[in-house]
Amino acid sequence: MDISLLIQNLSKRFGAIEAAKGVTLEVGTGQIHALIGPNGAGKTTVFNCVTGFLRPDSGKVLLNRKEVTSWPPHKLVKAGIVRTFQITNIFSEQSVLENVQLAVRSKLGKNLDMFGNADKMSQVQREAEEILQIVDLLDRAHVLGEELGHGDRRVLEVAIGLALNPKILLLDEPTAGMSRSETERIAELVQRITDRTSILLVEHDMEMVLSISHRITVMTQGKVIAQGTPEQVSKNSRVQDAYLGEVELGT
Amino acid sequence: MAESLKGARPESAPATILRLTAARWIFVLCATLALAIPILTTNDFFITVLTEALIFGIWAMSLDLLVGYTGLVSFGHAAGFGLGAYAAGLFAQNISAEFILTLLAAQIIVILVAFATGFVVTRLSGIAFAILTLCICQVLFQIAVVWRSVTGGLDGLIGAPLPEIFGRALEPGREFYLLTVSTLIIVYLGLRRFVDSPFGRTLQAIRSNEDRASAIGINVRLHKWVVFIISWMVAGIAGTLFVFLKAGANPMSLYWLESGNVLAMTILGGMGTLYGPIIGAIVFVFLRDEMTTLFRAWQFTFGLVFVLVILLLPSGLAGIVSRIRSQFWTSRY
Amino acid sequence: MDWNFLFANSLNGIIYGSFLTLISLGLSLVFGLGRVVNFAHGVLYALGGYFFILFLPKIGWAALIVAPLIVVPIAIAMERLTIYPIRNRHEIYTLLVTFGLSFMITGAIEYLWGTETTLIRPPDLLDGTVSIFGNQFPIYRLFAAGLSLFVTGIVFGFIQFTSMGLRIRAITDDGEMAEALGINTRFILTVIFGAAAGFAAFAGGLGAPIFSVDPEMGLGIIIDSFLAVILGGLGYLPGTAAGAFIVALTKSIGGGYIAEWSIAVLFVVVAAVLVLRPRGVFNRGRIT
Repeated sequence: MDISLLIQNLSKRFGAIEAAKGVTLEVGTGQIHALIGPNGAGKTTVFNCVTGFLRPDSGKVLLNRKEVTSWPPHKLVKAGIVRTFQITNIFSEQSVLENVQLAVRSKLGKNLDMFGNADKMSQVQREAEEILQIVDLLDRAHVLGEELGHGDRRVLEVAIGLALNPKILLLDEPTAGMSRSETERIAELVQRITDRTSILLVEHDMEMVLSISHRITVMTQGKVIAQGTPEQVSKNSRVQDAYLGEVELGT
Repeated sequence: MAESLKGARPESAPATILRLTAARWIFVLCATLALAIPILTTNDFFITVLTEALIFGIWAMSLDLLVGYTGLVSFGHAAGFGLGAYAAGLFAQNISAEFILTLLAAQIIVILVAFATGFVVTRLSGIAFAILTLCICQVLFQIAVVWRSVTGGLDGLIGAPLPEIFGRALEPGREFYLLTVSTLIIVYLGLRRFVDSPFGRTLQAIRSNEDRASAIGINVRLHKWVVFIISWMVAGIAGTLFVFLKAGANPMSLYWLESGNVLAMTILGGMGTLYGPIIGAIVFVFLRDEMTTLFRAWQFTFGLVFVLVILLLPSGLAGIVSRIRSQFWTSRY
Repeated sequence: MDWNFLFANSLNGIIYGSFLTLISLGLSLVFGLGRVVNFAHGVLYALGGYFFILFLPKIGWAALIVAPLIVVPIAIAMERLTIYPIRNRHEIYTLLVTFGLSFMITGAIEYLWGTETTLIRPPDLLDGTVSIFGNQFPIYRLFAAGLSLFVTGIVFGFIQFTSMGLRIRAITDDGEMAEALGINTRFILTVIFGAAAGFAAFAGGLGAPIFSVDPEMGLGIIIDSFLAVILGGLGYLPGTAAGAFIVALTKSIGGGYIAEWSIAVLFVVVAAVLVLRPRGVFNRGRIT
């Protein structure tokens, strides 16, 4: 199986705190890999290092075998590493459709085009509508970002990410603050999009993680303490000690 | 959670189509009216004041690109304007008063300075950006005052020749007014095209959520730099017209109060609309002319109005217009 | 190398730096507490100067205390009426509204008191010069700078060692958390806003014999204050003090040699610092 994203021995410290130490993990093409751990374990640090928001002190990040360590965010996006944010971060003044169109235009390299008419780009509109169709937001296409409910906003986040044609999509706690049904909606959506991209997700919802992930990495205090399939990980005693408690494999 | 900046907002598709057609008609109407002014009135003084107002309209539009569309508040926007005026004035005095050539010469100077200062200043945002733009303007002001041999010091440039179109000098008054209106129309159409382009939409995305913009692959820094240069270029066009209108240039055009004036025009008129600032400029110029003859506390009153507009009417006059319009459309459906 | 010239300029820079520290501290505190960028802080300094010279002939040097006492309520009214109502909007609105206020107040000053510059003699007790390394230096300047630094020291001490100061530091670190802990942030914000205005106004009066009083004094000081705060790192108080001295010394020394270009030199210095360290020289500020 091909490896989409390879993180090798990633380390990052803030002063005296080693937020991430020697983290290694790989995400296979079309796979869902979950990164879990208690708060402060270093998951977001890893995310930030991979997506160019932080420079790692050491270690490598490889996308489809090509080294992309320490690249700036916009370069990584063009290469295919795309992330969503923990705190919903959409363009609130723009409509749902425009939110996605912005991403599509960016992907198509049209950001610097000063002469075309943004509203008359049919290819852009078509692609955006296709994405909205996949995430099931097409009927809300003209609603403004700030008018959306919480659940829809998280879905829009995923849509924006998807529109950028990622090779790997990093989802930062996509179900944060969601009800059971909204969580299921996202879980189902994430599974649906694996034919387009690989997924690395940080999550706290154990049920969801165990049911949809192909592989799981568990971190605590900056280090990886377990890695494997959901079954392997949930049986790992160190993990159970660290924070899972008693968890059964999904039904 | 902070409320977002008010600015150009997209609406539902059917309303947009109807609105666009209406907008086009309004534009054609205004443009025709503006061009017809010399026929409609014999009041030369009025025409001169209107010319100044329209020049400021161009200047205010250029600031709108920064403030209204990109979310970058500049406290030093007199810089591009004043620089354009001086450059154009010097060129016209010493080389040629052919309008297009003067305009191009001034643009070259403006682009060079904006390129260099923009490189530094667009690395910053918010307050740091605002203060540094103020500094840049003050530096230019100092240069204008100190470099007597070139700029004429505190007296400024005195006496610019009449602008020429293909060798024929334009009369001040009506003919110059028509030149100004034509320039305004061309600039407006160009900027309208610009803000509706992907680049323009990207700017609005930056204003709306800068972090998100960079997360989707937008080179925020580059966009800010480019729009900074463009805003100076358009301000420089206004400055070029201004030096011909006033037959001279003055360092006070580069003083911080002028930067405050153009900011007020843009906000009063309604930022993020392009036409709002033009309205704001017209209102400002006519109000100022009325007020300064009436009483001395112009600056105070003006500051007060500025504050009130921010507090009560953040979308400016254009906001009132669009609110009326949306009432009208809602009642249709 | 004219050492005397350099020394005199440096000393003047330190004098100005002492004033600027006191003024900029207020600006930095208000920003740290409420994320408010108060562009009108400069005109509060100017108002302090003007009220001082208004009351000086009537009550003598007690005007130094009276002037701030008048400016503080004005500032608090300003905050209540124009800044508080828009606190939930995008930050640039506060910047714009305080910019408008500066305009307004400068206009009011010109209308009420005219556009000339007024020079004040120092009190007889402190008039005269003292010799430092062969240079004749006005005693008042040294006294005034010392007093500014003394007041600055009290402010630092207050923040560091009192329970109110602790609350201030808590709010600056994490405003929401502080509220959740029951700290009355609204009240403290108002108090600090008033105090900042008071210090600025005091500096306006105290500095009148040195820097003179004119309607545009607010603009010069606000630019310098903001540069000081930005250089030191937004919201980081020791940085603000350092920034103030950097600005003051750059202006005095740079300006000494190239008089009219002091602001250009300042711009280059600040731009260079910001480009290399956007969080200020100590890398402790919030991102600009």
